[in-house]
Amino acid sequence: MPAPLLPRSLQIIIPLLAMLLLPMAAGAKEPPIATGKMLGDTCASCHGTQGKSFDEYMPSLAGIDRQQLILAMQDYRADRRASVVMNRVAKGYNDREIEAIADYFSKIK
Amino acid sequence: MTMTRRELIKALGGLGALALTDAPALAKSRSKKAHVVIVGGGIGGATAAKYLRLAAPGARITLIDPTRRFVTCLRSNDVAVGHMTLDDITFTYDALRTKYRANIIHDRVIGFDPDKKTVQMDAGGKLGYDKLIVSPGIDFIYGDVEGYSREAATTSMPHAWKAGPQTLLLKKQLEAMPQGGTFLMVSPPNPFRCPPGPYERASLVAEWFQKHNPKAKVVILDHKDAFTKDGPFKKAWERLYGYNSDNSMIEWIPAAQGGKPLRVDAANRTVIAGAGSFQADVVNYIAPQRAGTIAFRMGLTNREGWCPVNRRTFESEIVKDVFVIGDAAIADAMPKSGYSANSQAKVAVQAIADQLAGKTPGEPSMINVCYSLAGQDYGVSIADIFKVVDNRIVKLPASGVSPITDSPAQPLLEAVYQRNWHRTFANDCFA
Repeated sequence: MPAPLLPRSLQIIIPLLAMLLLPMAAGAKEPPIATGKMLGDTCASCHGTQGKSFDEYMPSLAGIDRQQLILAMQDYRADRRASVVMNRVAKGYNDREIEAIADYFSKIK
Repeated sequence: MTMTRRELIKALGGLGALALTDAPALAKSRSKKAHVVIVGGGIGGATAAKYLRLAAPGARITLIDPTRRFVTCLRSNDVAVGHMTLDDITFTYDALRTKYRANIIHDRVIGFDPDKKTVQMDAGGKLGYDKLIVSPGIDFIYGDVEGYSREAATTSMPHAWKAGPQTLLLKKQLEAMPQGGTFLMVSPPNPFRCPPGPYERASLVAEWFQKHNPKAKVVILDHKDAFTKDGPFKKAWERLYGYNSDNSMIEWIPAAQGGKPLRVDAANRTVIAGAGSFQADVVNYIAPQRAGTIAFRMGLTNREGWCPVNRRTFESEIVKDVFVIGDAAIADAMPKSGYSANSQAKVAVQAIADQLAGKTPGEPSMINVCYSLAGQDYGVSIADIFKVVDNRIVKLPASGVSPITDSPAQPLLEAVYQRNWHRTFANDCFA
């Protein structure tokens, strides 16, 4: 039997470490995103502080149905829904960010 | 009747009362209630004060600005051509004071001690801070070209690049132009406040000429060879002002064609550039820019005259616990706009609230949307979302400028959006 390339202790530790790190590596594929509040604050400059606006063209987002907002953003992003600027804005947010935005605004009363 | 010490302090209220307390009590109140001081009450500073209160209900917030009312540069081009009044774009600090409990001090900051963490005011004495936000805006570089001066800027060659008296001076000069005269604009080198602003102004002046001075012309001498939204702007100029025809009301001379000014004869309203000598009836000389003077006095600027910051937090790379937001901050792909200042204020507030809570500042997210008018019923826009990658602010792909289409609805709706947006946006900053 050829001599092992690694000392016996490492032969045991490495697979154990790999098992430990594997879930982390899977998680690390997803870059961190901003909180729903931070992302929602970018919407506020047009849709009002905390999504509360009184404007016929830039509707309130506060209290909006979560799924309705997610679908609208996905449709804008894919150019399935016509708009003046939202097609371009929506392209700046990924699925997880859109969900975080929807979580944030749907919970505001 | 006797008053307890506590009642006395309560009766006197605010800063005055703090002076009566003994030193250990002051230290105790400091640790319990963080004091955030904001220097500059423009869009960045006002947004910071408001959002800080929403994020940190217990914090002490003080905003210092010498002026009692703020005039937005946003829509000041509409004021210059008489579509709006200065009052329409003037905002007070009332809501910040009453609704968001910020202490508003109308004073000038004249000194700064980053070690003791104090700012010195002109009339109001010294003020200690835990975190300091500086939103200084821009000032002008007067010495770049022979003959141009601060004096010229207030008389024969207004910049009208800070809204207020300068806007009204330009308006007056525009209205006094002889029939068939020339309106000459010098558009500044990058970076500068409101990149689409000069071209919006040129457009609105040309539109004003169509009604009031049909043979007059706008000539733009430019330090640059390209400008933001130049595609949709030039298409709009073709559609509205005969651009690229013999009768064009707008002539744009880029740097490559000698547009860069070399010398100025202020008394004769003449600008000498590579392309020739331009004598005009109105000269709107928009001077090169740098961070607001207060940023220099506080030692927050680099050699180029702007403020380097950590892009994730907007904390100064030069002085700890000081955050610089708005036009003065170096923000890479983000333009120097009111919208950017508002967005950066929210990022700085998140970082400060996290730091005060003993946490690492969270992930930032930033946005800029700018609507400009190429005519009263013709808008063009740019919309971008920004992220931080390796301490640089980068634009995410696929967002960008208005598409050029044959649909008459697109530019009309953009113009309507612009008007509505200004109201909503001002509320997000001041109300």
